[in-house]
Amino acid sequence: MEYLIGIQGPDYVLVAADTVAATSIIQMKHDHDKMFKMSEKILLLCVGEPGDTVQFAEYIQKNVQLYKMRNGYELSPTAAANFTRRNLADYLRSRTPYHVNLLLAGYDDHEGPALYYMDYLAALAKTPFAAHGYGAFLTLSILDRYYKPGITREEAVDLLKQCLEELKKRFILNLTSFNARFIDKEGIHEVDNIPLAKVES
Amino acid sequence: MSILAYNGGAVLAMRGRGCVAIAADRRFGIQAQTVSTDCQRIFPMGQRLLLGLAGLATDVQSVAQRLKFRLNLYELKEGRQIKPQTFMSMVSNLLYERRFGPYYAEPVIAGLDPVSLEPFICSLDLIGCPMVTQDFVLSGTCSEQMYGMCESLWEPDMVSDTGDSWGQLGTRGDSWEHVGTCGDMWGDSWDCLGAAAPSRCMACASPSGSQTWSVALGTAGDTWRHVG
Repeated sequence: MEYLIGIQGPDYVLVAADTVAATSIIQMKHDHDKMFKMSEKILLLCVGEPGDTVQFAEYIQKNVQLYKMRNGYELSPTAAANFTRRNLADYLRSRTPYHVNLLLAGYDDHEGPALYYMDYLAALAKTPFAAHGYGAFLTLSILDRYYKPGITREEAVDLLKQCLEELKKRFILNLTSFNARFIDKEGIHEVDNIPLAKVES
Repeated sequence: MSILAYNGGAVLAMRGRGCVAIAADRRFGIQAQTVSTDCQRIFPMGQRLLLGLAGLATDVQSVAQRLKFRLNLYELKEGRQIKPQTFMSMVSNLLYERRFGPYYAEPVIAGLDPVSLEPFICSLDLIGCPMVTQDFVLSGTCSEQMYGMCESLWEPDMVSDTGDSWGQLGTRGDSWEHVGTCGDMWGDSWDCLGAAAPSRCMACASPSGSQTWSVALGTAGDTWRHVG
């Protein structure tokens, strides 16, 4: 089962996702990237129904880029999150609802870092940390216990590692590989030293 | 598993003397998992009008957003603040438009009339049936528990005691200074200045003495109703 996690710090957001793409009992890909770059400082992490994830995420991605082309500046993470929510909510009661669970993480030069949790019913919540999937049931309590608002980047990576170790220990499904990224005022950066295999794509 | 209990939540509003109060919990959860503890269920819809929504979180957000849109248009067209009764009809209309595929949100409205400052509370069901009461309204997943508490604790003419309406329900002829006004004596702000004998009881005109004075009704302690 797919897993997403996000941790917001004072001037960055750390997000991570597992990199397994599976169908039934077969692992199709071990290096599948579930993060979609909305803009230079916004990432959309998307899991759920296999076709819907890419279709919906790319639709939002293209529209965020279109806004930038038309208006000359990028949507803020708050605006992007609300735009995404409006779209998901409108599709919910159509003939073609999207079954996707999302984390939207971004950095705004005025507002600072932001992490938004959205479930497939389009309920939006801005949170300091969040997780999706069965893994959330095992790791939210670790985040509750050790997260603090002024958490540094090193501490955030350690907290992320604690969560992933917990999954390795107690989750029956073997999620072997993850990728993680930081978003801050400089943009999006890869995190190299998370345990378990790194994404090669 | 009921759709209205998927996210959970509760909203409650009460009517008092010259005031209304509204309260809601702040848990955003998905069945047993709590996602955040600061979600907003009460939305300001005017200077003295608040809308609380309980039910499915996505519909709570959608209804609040669509309603704010309609309300903004109303205020632009009419050039004035909406009355709570009219707002109730607006909410009812929005919900009944979806009669056969409803929003899973049950609203509670609390506010004061923009002109007369008359307090108003009401609730609606998920398809927009309005219910106006004079005491309290509520909706949410623990409605039975809330009905029990409200029914036993609510009494008429309670005043706000946050320092906003009454500084202190004085005793024995405290003197009061009139510090703020909203047009209606009952909603005005009063600060207790200290003990001083009031002149006469408003009801029976007997002069102050050793009686117990409960509620200050006038300016600077000069009109009092004694209760004992």
